[in-house]
Amino acid sequence: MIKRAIAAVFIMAISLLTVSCKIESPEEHGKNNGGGDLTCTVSIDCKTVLDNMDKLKASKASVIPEDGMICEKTEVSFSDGETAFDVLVRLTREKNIHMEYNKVPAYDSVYIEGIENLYEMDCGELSGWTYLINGEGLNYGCDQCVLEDGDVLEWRYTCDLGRDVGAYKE
Amino acid sequence: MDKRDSFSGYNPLFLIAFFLFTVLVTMIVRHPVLGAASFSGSLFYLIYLKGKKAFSLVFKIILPVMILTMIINPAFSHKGVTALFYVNNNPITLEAILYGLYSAFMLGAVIMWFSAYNEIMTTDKFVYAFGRLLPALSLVFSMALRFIPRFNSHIRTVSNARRSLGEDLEKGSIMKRIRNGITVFSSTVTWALENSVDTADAMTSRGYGTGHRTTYATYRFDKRDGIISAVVLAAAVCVVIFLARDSLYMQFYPSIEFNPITAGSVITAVLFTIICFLPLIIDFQENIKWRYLTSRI
Repeated sequence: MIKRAIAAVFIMAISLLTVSCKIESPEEHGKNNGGGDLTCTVSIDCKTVLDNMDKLKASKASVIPEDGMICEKTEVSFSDGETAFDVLVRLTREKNIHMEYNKVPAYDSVYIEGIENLYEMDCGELSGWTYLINGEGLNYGCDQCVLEDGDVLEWRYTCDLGRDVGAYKE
Repeated sequence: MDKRDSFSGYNPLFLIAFFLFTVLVTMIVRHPVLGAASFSGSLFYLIYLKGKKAFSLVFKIILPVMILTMIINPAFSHKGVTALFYVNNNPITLEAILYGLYSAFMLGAVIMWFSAYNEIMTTDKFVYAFGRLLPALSLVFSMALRFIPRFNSHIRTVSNARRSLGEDLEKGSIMKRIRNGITVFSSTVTWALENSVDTADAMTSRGYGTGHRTTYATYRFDKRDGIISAVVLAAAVCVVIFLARDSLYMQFYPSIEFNPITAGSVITAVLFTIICFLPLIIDFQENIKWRYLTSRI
């Protein structure tokens, strides 16, 4: 009786998971990412790591590009109401760049844990990914930041809580 | 063949050190060769010790734990350069799957080492090993371990007594069964509290922990213990020295990489494998000796 109930709950959980999850192969993942009639410029870099090579974890040295640019400035199209997060997902999918994010229920927003296998706290305890819109840092999550046409979005890796990329707000 | 475990006859201090070393190396060092040695050594020794019971432990507890670990790691860790497929935009990587696989085997090995430890380290051995150093703690520990089977048997006694009164735990509505269960549990807890106080009082009045005391079973640290301890210690020091120089290390994230194979890494792997299989080697050697001696009678 109890065993059956446990099995039923287990099967329900698994089927719920498979229904709610979107599973794609790497080829599908790069295609059909949507878009829109608006464009913005996006770049991803970890130049600050180059100045802090002593703090970098030894295992991560292989993922750092020589010039620190993970993705050069690229035009990305998007539709009205889409956020910095949507654009990052689209760009990383198109370019097949590794990216891991995490939904933080406490702030009801998305946190970018790592891009191209470079993760938060890989380069000192104050390091992690942050973003700037038109050269300005914002103090809320990237999935709440609605973009406008022509915006310049920079994803930057900071080694000093955003101070070294100008994204820190006092 | 006559099955006897001569490994457990060694001095408890040596046995504790042996298990501590194998478990720590298994947990700390990340390398498939060491993991495989530890896993197979502990598995075979457990089967030798417990026979058929070992299989029920392996299939009912260890295997589910291992499968859970294998699933959970790639589901929550998306590190790694080789994306196999994507779930909700997060990559499921080959590295995460392999790391899950490796930690599953590591976890299985550690559980089996502890299970073998439980099998051969009886309470009196534990009290012998720590009685002088930490009398209060070792008594509490041995009482707590002894307490679990006693608790179970007392619960069975009480529920049988209540069944004869017509208050069966397995019949009636759920609410009634819960109420009966709580009655049994509360009486058992009361008994347990009283019992532990009584035992502690009895031990105090016998002068436990006041001075030098003898143990139920005496273990001398004899020549045999000295030889085996020296051999294992030498092997362990070798292993630790080579491991400290990172000769056996595997990197999982962001990509899988091995350190180059050197003479040091081969020696480490061989020595650690011998240490993991030492209980079995000793038991088989003693069994052969026993057969040989009895055959001459």
